[in-house]
Formats: sequence, structure tokens, C-alpha cells
Amino acid sequence: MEAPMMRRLVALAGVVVLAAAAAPVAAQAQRGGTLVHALRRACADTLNQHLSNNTPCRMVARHVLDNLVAVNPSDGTVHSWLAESWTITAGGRIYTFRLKRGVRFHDGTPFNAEAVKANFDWTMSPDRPRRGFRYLASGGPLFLKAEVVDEYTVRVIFREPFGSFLTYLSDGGMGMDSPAALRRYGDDYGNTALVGTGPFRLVQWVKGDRIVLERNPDYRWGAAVFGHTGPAYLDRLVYQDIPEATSRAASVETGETHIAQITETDVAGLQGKPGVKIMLVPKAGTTRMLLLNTARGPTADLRVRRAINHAINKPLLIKLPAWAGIGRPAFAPLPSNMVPRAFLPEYNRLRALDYPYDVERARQLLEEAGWRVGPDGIRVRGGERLVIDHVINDADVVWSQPLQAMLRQVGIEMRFRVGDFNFWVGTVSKGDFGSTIISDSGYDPHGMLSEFFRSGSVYNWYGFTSPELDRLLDAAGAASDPAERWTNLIAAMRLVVQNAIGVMAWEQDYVFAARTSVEGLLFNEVGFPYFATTWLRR
Amino acid sequence: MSAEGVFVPAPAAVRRPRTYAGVVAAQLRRNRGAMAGLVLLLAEVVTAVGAPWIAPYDPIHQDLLAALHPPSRAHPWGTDEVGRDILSRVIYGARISLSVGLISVGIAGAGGVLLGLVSGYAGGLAGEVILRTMDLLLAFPGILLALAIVAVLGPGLFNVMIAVGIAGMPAFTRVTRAQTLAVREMDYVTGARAVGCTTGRILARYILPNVLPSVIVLATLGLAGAILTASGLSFLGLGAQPPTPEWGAMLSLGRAFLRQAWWVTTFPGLAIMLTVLAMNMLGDGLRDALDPRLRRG
Repeated sequence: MEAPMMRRLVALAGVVVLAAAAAPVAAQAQRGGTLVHALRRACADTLNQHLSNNTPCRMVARHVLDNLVAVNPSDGTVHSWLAESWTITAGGRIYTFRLKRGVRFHDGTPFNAEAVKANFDWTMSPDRPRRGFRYLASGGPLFLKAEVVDEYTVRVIFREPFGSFLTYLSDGGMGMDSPAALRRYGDDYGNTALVGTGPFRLVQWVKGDRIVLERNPDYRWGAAVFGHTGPAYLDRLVYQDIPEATSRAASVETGETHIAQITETDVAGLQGKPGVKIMLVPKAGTTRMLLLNTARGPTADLRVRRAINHAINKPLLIKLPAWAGIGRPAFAPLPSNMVPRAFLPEYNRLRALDYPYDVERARQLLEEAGWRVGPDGIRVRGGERLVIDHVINDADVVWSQPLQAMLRQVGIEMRFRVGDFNFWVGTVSKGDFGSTIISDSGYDPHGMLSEFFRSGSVYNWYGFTSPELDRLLDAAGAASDPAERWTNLIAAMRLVVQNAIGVMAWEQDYVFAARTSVEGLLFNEVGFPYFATTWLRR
Repeated sequence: MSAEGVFVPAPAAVRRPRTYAGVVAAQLRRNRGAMAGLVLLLAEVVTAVGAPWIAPYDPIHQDLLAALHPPSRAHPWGTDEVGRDILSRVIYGARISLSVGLISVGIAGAGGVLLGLVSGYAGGLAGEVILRTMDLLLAFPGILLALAIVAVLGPGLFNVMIAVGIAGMPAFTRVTRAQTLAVREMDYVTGARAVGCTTGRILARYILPNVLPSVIVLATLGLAGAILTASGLSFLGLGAQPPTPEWGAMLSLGRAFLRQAWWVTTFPGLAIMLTVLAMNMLGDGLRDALDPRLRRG
């Protein structure tokens, strides 16, 4: 099948790689049944995507609300959905969309240009909270207005070119709500009601327990890129909260649920169990990085940062129990699965700039930097011990321990400061750290690189500033031509690697366990399952 | 902390030349549970003190190529997720747990007894303020209070000791105050006051010794609670900083591997259980021995 809406799935010995989803499903798909998806928490704030900042909420809402466009995560290309076609004019400032006809919201009202405009107006209205995801995804301060051209043509105008707009427009957080329902339910919208044009309707949300959706029998406007445009096969879709990871894994094993996101360490226990398949989905987002403070402490010295890079044995990390063989050694801030195929050759050249595991080279660099081995094996310079203040949240201890041993080998002491999430954010955001483990999820490559590496940006807590890097990132952000965008992004990543701002440690996979009866599973751009094409084999 | 350390002024008319401490010790020896607890605790103290000689490996040395090895001759209790020897970690962990227990109960006891004496003996507004503050603290479950204090102080083993200490204070204050109120009206205290003893001397010489037996029981039982709470905080990632071999932290990390490597969590879990059990048995025995109403023969 052409361009399946599938992230590239990675093979692992003994793990079922979901090939079925790439095959035409319609021919043999069976209708009916209830599918139960176990999550840590189905939705932490609200299903109203104008207000929500929580990815799982977006993933639920995505089944109820459709988007104007859909992105194919395996190559980053943008495809039509509720918008049939579009044009970009005025140097990337004006986006004009032609909408599909005959689309209706679950409340019976028609989907048209007025509805699209009403959605933008709701988000961008000055009397709404403006700090949410959707406000920024709609261009934030760049947004000027949305206007109706005719019943099925709508125009969105920005003050300056906004290159990421189409990518953001495909996000679950940008789904189209029924303007009538938004008005009718007011503050309850997103809690008791959610009305879109999607393949499923919201039936019930029992907070802290489950969200129940049912099939929309009138649906026939699915994105062609999904491989199935008609009504969903499932009668019902239930998102079940199961906070504890091992219990989630067990729920799939016993058949209590059909699919769950599990942890790497639970794979060994589930592998080979009858009726269970394990699926790995490359995470959309950044690489897992060990970021180093470039402004203070020993890591302000580039040689020390490079030495740390050479001291980390990435292939060995992946083999350790915490990783259980899942994931891949990384070499750049964006993992390879985030890069469109056309730009992979250029991207792969970054690998040559990365720092191979080489203990001797690491020691040599530290010697050059004036750090000599002290009596206890830890290096010293002018009475100062070579200690890296590693500040992490408790979930990252398991990933950090082996790094400690690897750095010890070259004479660096990694001293941990561990706390809960709030402690970690509070400490690291003040720049009070030597190193930390960090990554983000999302699929706007420019946005993610900028938030970590642009001068003064939200996650640039380690004081790295480079006018050259800023220039490259800004150029990538303004470019609506993919080639121009990626040339600048790859050049920006090259600077990140050359300056050894961190150890680009590993590319992470999301791990899912599912019953073998679950067929036609798709994973969307964020790496979460999309059930519009899923069916249960009986 | 042994019963022999208790000193109480002997009442005037004692028929046999038998000290109070001697009576308590004899009573305690008859209690099999308490003796078992005492033996276990002594064994643990020996382990903690002798850790560098007893432990077969360095507790923080990682052998990444020997991760999650099951119990074997080389590693009798197996290795953890980064190839550290679990037996050695549990042995060194005894040091952490015992010192956490002793120090936090020390803080709770010292602070609580002082506040209890003041509020019981002085009474008045100061006593009332102290009492109400303690009531306020008592309203929160201990672990919640400790969590809140750690949230303010920041994570780390030392802060956990302070937090657990503060959370344990109200119990000591209340017990001390109650005893003080009872003893304060005794004739010998009135007598001491009549001959011109200072308040400090009365508190130290005549009231404190009468309060101590209850405090000792509370401390022994509190030790178990303190160790549990501290392990709990470390389990939540707020206590001991890795790679410190703290039992609660070991449980927390090992839990991810529960299905494939039972030994990672089982041994630190057993260590916590045995320690707490031993302390509770000893504490119960001490309580019985120190309580004249329960004294046999």
C-alpha cells in the first residue's frame, strides 16, 4: 500500500513487528467489538483542545475531532483531510484552504469555512488564556486573522511567514470543534461534551477512570493517507486509566485490555506470551540527551564536554536491563525517524562528527584540559575535583547510573542530585546543574531544536549562545520549502554536535503490548495509536 | 539504647536490694520475642559497623557486563540492573537505615521531650501554644508531613532525617507532657520546690527520669517507623541520593525488574521487614517490662 500512516517500526528479535497495518485492511476487516486501551492517564486536563496542554488528551480528542490536514510521520509529508487542497502565498504569510463538502459535526451542524474561522477565533480571542499549545501552534503573536472567502474556502493570515503551520495543523491539538457546541456547553465543553466530525463520538468521561467513545456511523471523510476513509470498524473505544506500568502490562497479558503502552523492562516478561504482541514505535521528539552546562563548572570547557562524549559507550547502554535492547545509539539532537527520507543522506553525515566510545581519547582530552588523576582515581586540577553535578528527576535514575560508571572510568565523578519532577524543573531551570537528562516529544523539528538550543529559549538552561546557531534556526523556522528548512536544521544540528552541548545518547522507542487479535493498528506522528482503521479479529 | 541506662531515684522503702533497671532487665529476658528482636538488632549493628570487612564487594561498584545476574556463588544474592552486588549493598544499607533511624528518632526525641517538659511543667500560654502546634502536626499522617517537609527542604538523606524527626516530634511531646503533668504534683517535686531547687534542676533530676521509660518505649517503636518512612521517601526518590545503597531506594529501582529479577527487590525488602519487626518486638517487650501494671512476679 502507498504511504501507509505508519511510523517506521523497528524489528527486535522475537518481537512482532506490525506489518499488518501496512497491508490493505478493508478487504478482510471485521466490524464490531469494543477495544480497551490502557494508559497511565487518559487525559490529565481537558478534552477541549483550545485549552489542553496534555498529549494524551490530544490523542483521545483526535478520534473525535478531525484536522484540516494529516501528516505522514514516516516521511513528514502533509496530506489532505478536512481540507481538500491549499495554497501558500505572500511568501508564506497567507494559507488558503479549500474544504471538503458534505462534512457534518456529530451535532448535525455543517462543517464549513465559518466553522474553521470560529475555531481560530476561539483560540486567538484576546479574552482567552493564551499560553496553551493551540495558541502557539496557531502562530501565537504571528497570527493575524482567519477569514471566510466563500462557504468552502477559508484563509489564515500571519504577520510574518510561519513555516511550521501545516505541520502543527495536523496535530491532535488542532482538531476542529463544532462552533455550536463550543457555544452551547461553555465551560463544560471538553469535560462533559466534545463535538467534532471525527470517526468516534464522546460518550462518557469518568475522570481518573475511563473515557468511552463510540463509532460515528456517518463518517466518510477520513484522510486518504490513513488507508481507510469510511466509518470505524470498532463499535466502541475505551481509554482505561491504569497508572502502574507493570499492572498495565499484566492487563494485556490477561486480556483485560487490548493494548497498552508499557516500559522497556516489562518486555521480557510479556515476550512470547500467547496472544500478546510487542510493538516498538520510534518516539517523535528529540533524542534522549545528557545535556551539559556550557556556562559553568568543568563542562564550560569544550574539551571536558568532548571527553564526556567519548567516555559514554552508547551501544552498551542499549544492551543494559533498563533499555532491554530497545532504542538505538544516537548522534544528533533529532532522531533519524524525525528526518524525511529525502534528507537522510545529509543528516547521516552528522554521524561522522559524533564522538565514538574511546576511553583513551577521553583521558587525553582531560589531560589536555589540565585535569590529572588524583589519589582516588578522580581527576583534580588546582585542588578542584572533577565532579559533575548531575541533577535529575527520580524517573531518570535508572538511565543515569551506568553513565556514572562510564565517567568514573576516565576519572570524572558524576554526583547525583535526585528529586521529584518539581525539584528537577526548579533546579535545572535556574541553571543550577552540571548535567541532566532531557528530551521532548513532538514532531515539529524546528520548534524542538529551537526550544533547546536557541539563545534564551525555554529549555536552554545551560547558557549556550551562538549567533550562528540562532540564525540557522530562525532561517529554518521561516522557510516553508522543506529543502531550505532541512538544510538549515541539519546545519544547526551540526553546530550542536561540534560544540558537544551534550551527549546525544539514544533514540527512544515507545513500547506497546497488544493482543494479537488487534489488527489494522496505526501509529500517528506522536507515536500514539490511532484507531480509526483498527479492527478486532474474532 | 538499653534498659540498663534507665535511672530512677529508688523509692524509700525497697525490701530487696534490687534496682529498677535490674527488674526491667529480668522482665525483658523472660520475653522471648523481645530477646529475638534484640539479637536481630545486635546482629544488624555488628553488620553495619563491620560492613567494610563483611561485604564481599564495593557496594557502588558497577559491573555493567554482569547486570541482573541471579544469585550465584560469586554473588550470593545476585546483582542489580547495573551489576552491583546486592549482598554488599544490603550490608552497607544497614548503616544507612540504622543511622537514619537513630538520628531522626534522636531529633524527634530531643525536641519532643524538651517541648513536652516545658509545656507540661510551665503550662500557661506557652504550654498551650506548644500543645496546639503539636496537635496540628499530629493531624497529618507522618509520611505526608515528612513529604511536605522534604518538599520545602529539598531532597537528600539529611533532609529526610530532619523531616522524619520533625514528623515524629508530636508523639514525644504529648507523652512527655502527660507524664510531666502527673509527676509535677508528686510530693517529692513539691518538696524539691520547697527546699529551693531551680526549675532546671527539678526538671532534670526529678521529672525527666520519670518520663524516660515511656520515651524509651516510644523511641524503640519510633525507630521502626522512622526507618520505614525514610525508606518510603527514598523509594519515592526524595531520600538517599544514588548510588547510596539505601534499602528503600533499592526497592524502588528494582521494582521495574520485578518480573525478571526477583532478587533485586526481595533482599532489601526482607532487610527492611526484619529490621522493623525486630524493633517492634523489642519495643513491645520494653513496654511490657517498663509498665508496672504488666509486671509479673
